[in-house]
Amino acid sequence: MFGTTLNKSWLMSLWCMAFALGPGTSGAEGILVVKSQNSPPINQSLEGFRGVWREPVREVDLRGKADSKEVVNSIRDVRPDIVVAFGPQAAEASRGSVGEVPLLFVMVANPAKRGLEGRNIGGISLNIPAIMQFTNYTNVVRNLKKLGVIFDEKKTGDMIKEAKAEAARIGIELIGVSVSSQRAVGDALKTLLEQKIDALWMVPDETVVTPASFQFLQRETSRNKLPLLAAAEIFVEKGALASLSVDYGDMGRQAGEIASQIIKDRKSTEGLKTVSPAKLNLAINLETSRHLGELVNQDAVNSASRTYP
Amino acid sequence: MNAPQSQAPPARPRVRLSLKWQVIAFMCLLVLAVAFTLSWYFLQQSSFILTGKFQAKARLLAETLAHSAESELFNMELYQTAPEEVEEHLGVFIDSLFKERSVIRVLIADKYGAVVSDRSQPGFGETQNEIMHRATEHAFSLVTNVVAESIHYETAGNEDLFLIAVPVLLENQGQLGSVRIIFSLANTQADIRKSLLTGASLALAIVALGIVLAFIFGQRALAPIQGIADAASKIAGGDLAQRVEVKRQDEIGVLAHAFNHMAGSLGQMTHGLEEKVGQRTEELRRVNAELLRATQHKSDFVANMSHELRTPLNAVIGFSEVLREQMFGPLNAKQEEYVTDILTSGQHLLSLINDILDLSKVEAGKMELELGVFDLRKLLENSLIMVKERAMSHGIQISLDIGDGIGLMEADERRLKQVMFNLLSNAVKFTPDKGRVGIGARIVGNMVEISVSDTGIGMSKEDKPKLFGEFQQLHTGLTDKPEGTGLGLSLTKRFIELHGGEIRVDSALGKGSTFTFSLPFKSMSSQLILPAVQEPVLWRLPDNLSSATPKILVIEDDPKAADIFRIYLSEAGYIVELAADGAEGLRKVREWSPDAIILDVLMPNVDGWEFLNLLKADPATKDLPVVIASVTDQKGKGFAMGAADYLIKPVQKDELIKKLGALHLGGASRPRKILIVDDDPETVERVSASLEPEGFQVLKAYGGEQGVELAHKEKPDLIILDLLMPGTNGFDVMERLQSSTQTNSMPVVLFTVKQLTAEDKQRLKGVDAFAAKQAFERGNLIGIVNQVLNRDSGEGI
Repeated sequence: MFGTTLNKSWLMSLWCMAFALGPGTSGAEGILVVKSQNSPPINQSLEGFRGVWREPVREVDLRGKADSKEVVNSIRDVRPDIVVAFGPQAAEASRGSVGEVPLLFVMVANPAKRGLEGRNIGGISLNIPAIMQFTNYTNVVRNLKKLGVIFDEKKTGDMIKEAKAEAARIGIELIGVSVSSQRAVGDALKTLLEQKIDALWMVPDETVVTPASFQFLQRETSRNKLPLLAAAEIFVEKGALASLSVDYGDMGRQAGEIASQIIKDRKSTEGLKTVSPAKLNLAINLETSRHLGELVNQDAVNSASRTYP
Repeated sequence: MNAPQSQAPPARPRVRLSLKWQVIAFMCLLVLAVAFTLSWYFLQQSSFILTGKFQAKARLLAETLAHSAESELFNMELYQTAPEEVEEHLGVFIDSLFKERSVIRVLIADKYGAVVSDRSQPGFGETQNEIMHRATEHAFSLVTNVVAESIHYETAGNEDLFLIAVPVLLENQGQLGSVRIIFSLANTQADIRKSLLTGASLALAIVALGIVLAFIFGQRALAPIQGIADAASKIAGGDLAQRVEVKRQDEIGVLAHAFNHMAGSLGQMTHGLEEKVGQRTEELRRVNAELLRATQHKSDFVANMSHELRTPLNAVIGFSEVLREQMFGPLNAKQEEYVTDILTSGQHLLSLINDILDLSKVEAGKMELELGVFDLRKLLENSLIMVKERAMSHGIQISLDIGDGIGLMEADERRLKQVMFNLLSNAVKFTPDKGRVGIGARIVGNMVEISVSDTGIGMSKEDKPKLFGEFQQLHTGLTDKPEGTGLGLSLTKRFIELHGGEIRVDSALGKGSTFTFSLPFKSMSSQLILPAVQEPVLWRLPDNLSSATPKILVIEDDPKAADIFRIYLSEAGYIVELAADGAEGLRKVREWSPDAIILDVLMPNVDGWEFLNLLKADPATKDLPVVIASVTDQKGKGFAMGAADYLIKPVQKDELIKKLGALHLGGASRPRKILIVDDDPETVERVSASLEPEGFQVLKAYGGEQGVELAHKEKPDLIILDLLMPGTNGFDVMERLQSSTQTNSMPVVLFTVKQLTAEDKQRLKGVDAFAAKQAFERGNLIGIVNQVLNRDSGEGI
C-alpha cells in the first residue's frame, strides 16, 4: 500500500512538472522582442503587437545599435520560441543570433537587401507594393493614366521594372526616366513633362531624392500643376500632393498575429515569410490639392488619414 | 596818557591740507574715476564681445552640423539608413568639431528624439546626461525654424557649460531631427579673465601714470603758489624784504610779479610810515614832555599858589574868627557884621582854593581816595542836617528815603560828604521857597544809587552839557549873583568817577532836577569798624613831664599864622612857645621841653620835614607828638614820618584844640569834658558819680535848653543826653546841636528809657550810641563813653 501511494505521488509530481514545463514554454518566456530603439514608431508597432499577443514578453532595446551580442545573451537566457525584431537594427542584430529560432521582423525596408531571408526568417516589410500605391493613387488623381518616375537604374531599376508591370495591370502607363546623378533630375522631369504625364511618382531612390532635388521637384510640379506623389509623408508636409505610409500600430498587430500562429503551430515557420503591411495611411496636402483643383479627387481628400498643413 | 601797545601779527592759520595736495588728490581721484569707469565699461564690453563671439561660433558650429546632418537624417527617414551609417558619414565632421577645444559633446537625434550619434570628448559624457535630457526636452518644446536658445547650466563641479540645440530641418521646413552641442566655457571664461586682468592692469597703469602726472603737475604748477604763500607769511611777520622768484610766464608768473610789486610798495610805504611814525613819536614825546612840564609847572604853580593864597587866608580867617569870638573885647553890631563878612569871604576863598587844588590833583592823577568803612545811612542823614537850617529858612521841605540794606560801606567818607553837600546845596539853592528837596538811596545790583532831587527851577537841554564843566554856573534868577566856586559839580563828578561810579542828571526847565549817582556798594560787617585812614600814633607822654598845663611849641615861620596859633592855644589853656623855623624849633625843644609841637612844613633853613626827621632820630625827642599844620596836603608823608596828626591851613580853632585834646597831653590837667543833660537830678548825680572817678570832667545840665547852652559854651568832648525832658526835649536838643557847626560834631550818647521807634531814629540822626537807663550799669556806660571818645578821635572835615 505504501508503495502504491508513493508511486502515485511520484507520477503526480511528474505530471505537474510536465504540465508546468509544457509545450510553449520549455523553460522560456515564449517571445523575445528586440527593438532597434525606443522611438515612437517602434513603440506604436509594439503596442499593436501586444494588443494581439498578451503574454509577457522579454524586451531588448538596442538603442539604435545593431549589437548582436546583447541579442545572443538574451536568446541564451530566454530561449524564446520566436524572436520578434522591430526595426532594421534589431532585425540585423537578431539575424545571425537566432539560429533555428524563428525570427519575425517588423518595420524593415528592403529586407532582402539586409539579408533578412531564410527558412526561419520572415516579417512585415516597410515597403509598400507598387500595385497598392497605384491603386490608391488612382483614387486620388483623376484620370491617372500616365505616371512618370525618375530613378537610378543601378539603385532602383529592378523595382521600377516590377512596378511597370504592376501599373500596366491596372491600366497605368509607368513612364520612367533613368538618371545617374542628381544633376540630371531636372532634364528628366522636363522629359516627363513633355510626355504629358498625369502625375509624378517619387520612389525612395538616393540618387534622385535628396532634400535639394525634392525642393526642385516640388517647385516644378507645382508650377506645372502636376500632382507629385511622394515616397514619404514628410514630403507631403513639404508640399507634395499625397503619400502612402504604413500604419505602425497595425503592423505590430499584424506581427502579433503571425507570431501567435507560429507559436500555435509549434514553432513551425512554414508560414513565415516577408509580407507587406496590411494597412496603409494616405496623407494629403490640402493646399496642393486646392492648387491642383479638379485634378484631385475630393473624396480621396476627405478620406485621407492625415492632411497637411 | 599811555602810548598804544603794538600788536603782534596774527598767527598764520594752520594749513590742514595744502593746495598742492588738494590739487593732486583731486586729479588722482579724477584719474581713478575715469580709469575705473572706462575700465569697467570696456571690460564689460570685452566680456560681452567675448561671450557673443563664443555664442556666435557655437551657433555657427551647431547650424553647420545641422546642415550637414540634414541629408543624413533625410536618408534615414526615407531610406531607413542605419544610425551607424549616419554617424559614420557625419563622424568626420563631428571629429573636426572636437578640434574646437570648447566642444565637449555632440549629439544628433532623429525627429523622434532617438539618438543617432552621441560623441564626447574624453572625460565627458555621463555627467551631462541629465543636462542633455533637459536640453532635449526644452529643444523639442521649441518651435521649428527657430534655432534653439542656448541654455546655461552649472555642473556640480562648478564648471560652466553652454548647450546649443539646433533643429535639423528639411529645406528649413519639416523637422528631421536635432543637433545638440555642449561647450565648455572654461576657455571662454579664461579668455574673459585674461581680458579682465589685462584691462585691470592697464587701468592700474593708467592710474599710476595719472598719479605721477598729477604729482608732477601739482608740484610744478602749485609750488610757486606755495612760495608766494610763504613769502606773504614772512611779510606778515615783518620781513618786508621778502620777494618771490619769478620763472613762470603764465597767470602764476603774473601773480608773482604783482606780489613782488606789492611787497615793494608795502616796504616803501612801511618805511615811509615808520619815518613818519618816528617823527610823530618824537613830536609826541616832545609834546608830552612839554605837557608834563606844563602839568608839573601847573601843579607846582597850584601848590605854590595854594601856599601863597592859604598863608594870607590863614591870617584872614584866623584873625576874623578871633575877632568874631570877641576874644579881645566885644564888637558892635556893625563890626561883628563886617568881621563876619570877612570871615565868610575868607572861607569862600579857602573853599575855592581847596576845590582848585582838588581839581588839580584829580587832573594830575594824584588824587587818592581815603577809603574807609562808614555808615552810609548816617552820612546821608548828617548831609541833610548840613543844609537843614538854610532849607528851613526858605520853607523848603527836606525828605530822606533810604531803601533796605543801606548800611556800612567802604568809600572816601570825606569826599562823599563833600559830594552830598555840593548836591544838596545846589538843590536848596535852586529851589524856590516852599519847595521840596529829597535824598533817596537804594541798592541796585552791586551798586548803591543815591539821588538828590528838588522841585526847583530845573535846567534846559542846552545847559545840561556844561553842567559838570569847570567854573560853570547857571544863573538861577533866584539870587542876585551866582554862589559857589563853579567847581563843585566838576569835582563831584570826578570824585564819583574815582570811586568807579557815575553821575547823571534828569531835569527839565521849571520841573526840578534829580541828580543820581552810583557807587560800588558792598555790605560790610555791622561791627564798629575803625576808619581806614592812617591812625595817628598813640603817643606816650614823656616821662619827664611834670607840669599840669601842657606846653605847646609852635614852629611857624609866618608870624601871623604863629600868632593865630598862639591865640587859639592860649585861649584853650595851653602854654605856648613860638619858633620861627626848624632850627630854632630844635633848640627850643631841648631847652623848653614842650609836651607837643605844632609844626609848619614850608619853612626856610630847616623845613618841617627835616625838623621832623631830626626829632625822630633823637631818642630823647622821638616820642614827642607833632601835629603838622601846613597849607599843603601831604598827610601820608606826615604820618609816615611819625606825625601825630595833620591839619590843613587855615586851621579852625576847634579843630586844633580837638586834635591836641586827642593827644591827652598833661595827664589829668586836661580831663575830658562830658556834659550830662537830664531833667532828673538823681540820674545826673548817678552818672556823674560814675564818670568822675574815671578822670572825666563832668558838666551838668538839668534841661534841654541848659544843655544846648553849655554845649556851645564849654564845648564838651561828649554829651550824655536824656530824651524825655519837659520843654526842650532830647529830640530838640539833637536838632539844635546838629544845626550848629560848633556843636554838630560833638559825639552824643543817648541815655533814655524810651524804646526808640523808626521815626525816633530818623529824628535822632547824629547820635553816636545808645544806652538804656533801665539797664544801666556803670561799667557799660563807661565803656560806651570811652568807645565813642576813642572812635571820634580821628574824624574831621
